[in-house]
Amino acid sequence: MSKTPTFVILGSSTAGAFAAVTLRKEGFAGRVILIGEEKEIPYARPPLSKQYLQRERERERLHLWPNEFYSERKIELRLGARARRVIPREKEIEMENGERLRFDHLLIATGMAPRRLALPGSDLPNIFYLRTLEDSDRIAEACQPGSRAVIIGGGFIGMEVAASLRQKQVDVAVIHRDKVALERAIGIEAGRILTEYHRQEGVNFYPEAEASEIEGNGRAERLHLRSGHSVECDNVIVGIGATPRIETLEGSGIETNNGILVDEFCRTNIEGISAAGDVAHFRHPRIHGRIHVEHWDNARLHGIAAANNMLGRHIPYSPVPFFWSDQFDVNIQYAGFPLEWSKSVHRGSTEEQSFSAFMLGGNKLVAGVCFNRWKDRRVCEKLLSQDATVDPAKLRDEEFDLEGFL
Amino acid sequence: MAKISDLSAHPMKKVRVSGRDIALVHVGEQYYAFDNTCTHKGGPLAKGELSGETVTCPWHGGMFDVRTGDLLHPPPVERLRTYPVRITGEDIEIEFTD
Ligand SMILES: Cc1cc2nc3c(=O)[nH]c(=O)nc-3n(C[C@H](O)[C@H](O)[C@H](O)COP(=O)(O)OP(=O)(O)OC[C@H]3O[C@@H](n4cnc5c(N)ncnc54)[C@H](O)[C@@H]3O)c2cc1C
Repeated sequence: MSKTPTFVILGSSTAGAFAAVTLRKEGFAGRVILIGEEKEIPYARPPLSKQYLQRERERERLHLWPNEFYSERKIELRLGARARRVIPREKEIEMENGERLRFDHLLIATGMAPRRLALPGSDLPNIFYLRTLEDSDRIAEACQPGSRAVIIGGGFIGMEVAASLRQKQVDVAVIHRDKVALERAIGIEAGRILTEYHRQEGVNFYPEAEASEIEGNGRAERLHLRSGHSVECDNVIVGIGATPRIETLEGSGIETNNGILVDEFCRTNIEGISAAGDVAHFRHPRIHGRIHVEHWDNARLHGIAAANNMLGRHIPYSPVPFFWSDQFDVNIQYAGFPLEWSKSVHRGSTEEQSFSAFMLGGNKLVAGVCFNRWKDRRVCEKLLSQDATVDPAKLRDEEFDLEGFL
Repeated sequence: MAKISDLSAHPMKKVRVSGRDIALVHVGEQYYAFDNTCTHKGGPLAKGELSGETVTCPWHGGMFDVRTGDLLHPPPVERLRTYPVRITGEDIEIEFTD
């Protein structure tokens, strides 16, 4: 390593920005360069489908830190700049404009991009995806009160956009493949209850449905389903998952498998190159094999962990995965591992929108989904981090205070 | 603004200053001031839990560092605004920069 080493971070969002700030906080004295193709300074995406889409939050509030915070810490922001290729052999990144940047250590935090529809009519102009601030602006602009929006996909993005647009008096229909929305993320029971809340708020659902064609005269006006049904619309929003952004790594020798493979110290197979956040599949000390977490707090904590490990701290990253969602008045919090579970027990009342579902494997908690009950989530985090055994009867029994586990 | 004795019984208190709700806390030898309103959904932080230098929102469990406003646990993703505090005799004074 040269005397004042240069650490380059590719991807200027949550994982990348927290890594850069952590390097400085931990006293790194070399150069820190944060590269991102988006022009905006680093910001948090979660409000893009929620308060920001509802036009209830100013743009500046999404910024992780104000602009001067970076200059004060000598973090060099290179925004609006896309990398074309990573060349490990030469410890260089080639930028789209041909410039080459040398690094002593590289952190790749390029995140994910929305999966695109591939149907007849997919290229019509009023079909939207949601990942960036501009995407959210475009959707808010297009979906005026009284207009009709069709949402393809019953995952988090689809359901949050449905709730936000509905609250703006947009007519909303959600088309999804599974029996109930969010089935894969939070289980069929929790998904069913959430769908019911949406229905009460006036969202229409087309379950077990698949779009076959989007039709219209110069713009999307009608969505055809494989079942033969069709749905009229003014706009289409697509939320059918995301794919990791590893296009700059082709031919680099960095191991990928639908994401960048890293160990518990955020290292790739190539010395001096790490990865963190949505784009990384990491070895978790608690789990056989690697896991992949596409949620905000993981990006934050993984970025922090990567920075510490780039400084040689050698601290394994072993989080209890956590995410949340806000839809209408329901705040969902989930803590746990994407593992097999053999039974689930419930606590609380679904009518009062206050309940938790705990997933167990044997006498151990695997995950908990908590609706308007963040304290149950805190208990899950504790039990999971200690790998503790639990008595399912206690989890179910409202008379038993779960805080006793803390 | 507030008196030191206001924080003797309970180390966290909401005060209203120039039309703003500010939370004042007493940790060890130090006093800190920050927006009382959680950046997630507006939960009243002074009604939450204080543990060391960490405040936890009573509504959805968001956590912040009271010294810096740094986020420690979502659902909030935005940092909390903090204000410098000055102690003059028995008085706790909060400085606004705008
Ligand atoms: C609308 C929306 C709502 C969400 N809501 C929640 C929520 O409620 N709760 C939750 O837990 N999670 C939520 N998430 C997920 C969370 O936002 C992500 O997990 C998080 O953004 C991942 O951060 P990251 O830094 O790993 O990647 P990203 O945020 O994807 O950032 C990667 C950055 O790298 C840049 N980049 C990629 N390739 C290049 C290149 N070649 N050159 C230069 N720059 C490049 C990209 O432009 C991007 O800015 C939401 C996501 C979205 C989109």
